[in-house]
Amino acid sequence: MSDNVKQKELQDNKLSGAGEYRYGFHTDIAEDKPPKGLNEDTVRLISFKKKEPEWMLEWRLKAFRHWLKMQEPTWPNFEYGPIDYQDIYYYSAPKQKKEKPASLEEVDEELLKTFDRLGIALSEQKRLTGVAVDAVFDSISVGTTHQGELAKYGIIFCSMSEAVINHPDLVKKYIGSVVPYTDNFFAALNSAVFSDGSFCYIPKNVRCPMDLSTYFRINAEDTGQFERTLIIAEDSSYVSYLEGCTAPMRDTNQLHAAVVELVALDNAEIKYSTVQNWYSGDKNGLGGIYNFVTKRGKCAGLNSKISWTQVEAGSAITWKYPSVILQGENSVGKFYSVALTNNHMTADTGTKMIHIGKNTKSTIVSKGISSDFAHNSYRGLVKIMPSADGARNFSQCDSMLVGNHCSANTFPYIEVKNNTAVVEHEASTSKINAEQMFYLRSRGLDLEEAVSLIINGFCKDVFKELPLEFSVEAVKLLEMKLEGSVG
Amino acid sequence: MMTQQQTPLDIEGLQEYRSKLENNCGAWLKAFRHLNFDQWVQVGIPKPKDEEWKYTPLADVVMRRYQLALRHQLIEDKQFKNYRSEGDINIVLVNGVLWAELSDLKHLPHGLVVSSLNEALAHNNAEIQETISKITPNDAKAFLWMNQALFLDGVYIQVASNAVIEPLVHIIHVTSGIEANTVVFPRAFISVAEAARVNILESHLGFEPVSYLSVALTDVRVAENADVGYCKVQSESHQAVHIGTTRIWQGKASSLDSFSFNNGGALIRNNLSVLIKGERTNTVMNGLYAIDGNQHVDNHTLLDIQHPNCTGYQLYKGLLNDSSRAVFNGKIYVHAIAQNTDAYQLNKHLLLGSQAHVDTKPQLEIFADDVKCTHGATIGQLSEEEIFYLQSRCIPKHTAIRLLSRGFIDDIISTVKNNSIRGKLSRLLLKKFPEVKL
Repeated sequence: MSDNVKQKELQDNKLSGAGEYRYGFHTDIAEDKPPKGLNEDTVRLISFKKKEPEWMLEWRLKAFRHWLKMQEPTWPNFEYGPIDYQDIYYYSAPKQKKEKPASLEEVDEELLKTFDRLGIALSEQKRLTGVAVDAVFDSISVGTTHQGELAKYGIIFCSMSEAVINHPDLVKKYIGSVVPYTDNFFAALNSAVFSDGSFCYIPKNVRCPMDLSTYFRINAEDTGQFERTLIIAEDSSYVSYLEGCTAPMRDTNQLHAAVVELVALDNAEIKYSTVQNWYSGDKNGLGGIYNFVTKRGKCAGLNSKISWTQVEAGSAITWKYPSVILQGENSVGKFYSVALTNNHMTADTGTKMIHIGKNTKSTIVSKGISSDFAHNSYRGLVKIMPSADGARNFSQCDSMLVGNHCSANTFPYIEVKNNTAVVEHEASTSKINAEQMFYLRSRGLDLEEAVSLIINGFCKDVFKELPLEFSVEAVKLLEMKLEGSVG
Repeated sequence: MMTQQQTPLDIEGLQEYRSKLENNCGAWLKAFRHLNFDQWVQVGIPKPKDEEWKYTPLADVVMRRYQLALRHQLIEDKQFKNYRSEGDINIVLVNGVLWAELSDLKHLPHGLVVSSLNEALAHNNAEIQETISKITPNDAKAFLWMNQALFLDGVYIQVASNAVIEPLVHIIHVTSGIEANTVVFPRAFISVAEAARVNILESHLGFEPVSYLSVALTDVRVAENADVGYCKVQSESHQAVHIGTTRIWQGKASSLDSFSFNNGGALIRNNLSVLIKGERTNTVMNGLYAIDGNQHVDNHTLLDIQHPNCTGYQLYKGLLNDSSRAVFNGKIYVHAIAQNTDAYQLNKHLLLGSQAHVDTKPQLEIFADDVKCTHGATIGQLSEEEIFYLQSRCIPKHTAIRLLSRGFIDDIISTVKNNSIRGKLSRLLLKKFPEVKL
């Protein structure tokens, strides 16, 4: 079987020029795939496959009926081919020998190998001790590590499907509380057909002893991935959560419409980091993932904190605005982002900071790098509601252009309805300074090393917010992406 | 009786007004008015869903039934006389019609031509025809078309090449002697030829406490190497709605120093577009709005840079009292060819009123890589420490606040180079800042 993978890899390398997109291979594995198309039966089938209780199905159906009434949004600063929602497989699960593997050791070898190749070791001997991983393959979670250890602290870390069955009260209470299914077109679609994702619950006064992470892999063709993640941090708890994702190289666009909800109660802190490296299409802009994601956190309690850190380096189109609703007094929202676009990629990303509570604070640092024919937009909203006395926001968005066919845009919306608020926004667009380049090159660095050094400096504010191993990966990713685009 | 065509705004006697307009103009203008009218009817009044009008609802504007100005007479002239200065070349338009007796048209300096716009159009002026037929990328198209279809008259100003006009050219649009809910269409066309230099002030005034809608349109052509100072003062009556569009075309190596001042009106929308049509231009777009009560001021600006080696600087400041609302949307668009652009945009607000709202969106769209573009926006209050410092020097708190906010404003007023304009702006601000007495 593993020969199969190897062959595919060879083929892929030939197709793409080795090293261009390391994760572009496809795993040949039998799939359980109901037919394409979307209607109430699809929703029922997904719910049935997951053995969900009645209330979950009802919720999905409500979302689906609402979705039918909605129009696809047309306001973004880019165009994408019409998506035929009837031409997508909404559920695709790798067939396993056992219907439900009791432990990770029983998971299909092929799947374990796939994750091994992606650098995510799931088996007991190899896995990193510091990070618990939930591995999601197409529509299902194939396994979650360190569950036992986490349970000692009362932490629940499992796939969404398990949570719906094992912890219905929590799911029922919080699902849709931050991103209701009426929120937007893609959130409604996700609410109707979401297949899997991760669920984390950190009880009171617990500081999560290790980083939690989810790795998302799209494998099957013509599928859409609709995962849903829900993280709840009870009073005075802390969790750091990481997310990574890849997909095989294909000529057609695949839709990834996820929803992530974070809830932080009194004095709780959630740190959410993403390194997004979906397949971004080839040099001519063919193929790639449409990454249309709704991510939102709610600082529901006093002094709660939510921070989003993202490195957006993949996807044909990235369209997401991780947001924070600052409801509790003194709560803090942070957003750090690096969006790198090359070839024909498009990124329309930013954040929304909604200040409701008194003395709420938010910080936005966004860095966009655009090269080749790419379009990179920052679109953000800072909204100070009349109740948010003493709210404070600082935003900084810098863009860098490499080449003369790309573009960088900034659309910051600032809405202030309280006169005690202090809001600052600054943005700049520039290119790599010729003098800096000359300085570095006169010290013996070659062109690419010099560019990489400058870019790293440009993104440092964001990278330093990432957990260590992610930070290293992000730097490498950036270097690889920019290879050959400067000259 | 002709059947009444459904128009976006309900205007009494529109049909007769249009027939009268069309009977009095040449074939080109007649066709042009027709075309614009049809476009206006087709597009209608922007809805709140329209991104460009998101923060400025027009529901109140649409609801009313309007009249057309029938008399063109200056009723209240004391304040008007106080406002105009003797040293300037004053050009007065009452309800959109050029008023020769109140204007200084007799002894114009060499190189300056002033006439009514209808007169200029009657001579089939190719430059005007070509310019006004263009559509600019900035929004407010509905009101642009409305003005072009229905303007009664306007003023045409031409500065000959190499002419240097020393005195300030002051265009004064006064709305006066009207019934409630009258709609007026102030119109100006300014053409500055190669290497000419001129300072122009355009004031929109209304002294009577009556509600009206002013749909204004000004076109400015700045030819190669010309140097133009252009200031728009909007100090309409406190019940007025003013929706103004200003389009400026800048030729190669020309300079534009523009300023937009707003302190009047109930609902104000300014659309200012500067289109760069040649290399090595310099553009300054500054502005100030000092508002109170329930005033709503919306400034939409566009700097469209289509050529290399240009600079553009923009600073807009807003002082908001009571429950006033300000909207700012500044766009700098740098085309791929416009290398070496140096552009800077800043929007600062001082919120004094407890109910004051600000919605700001400074926007950069950049397609060229060798550029230096920055923008920023700030919203804040006076610092407690500064007030305390002044109080500790025996200055009462309210005086301290007034002093500090006056300082916030003076910073931008001082960027206006022309003395006569600066004097007028200071006088207009007196209403909001009575002399500071210690």
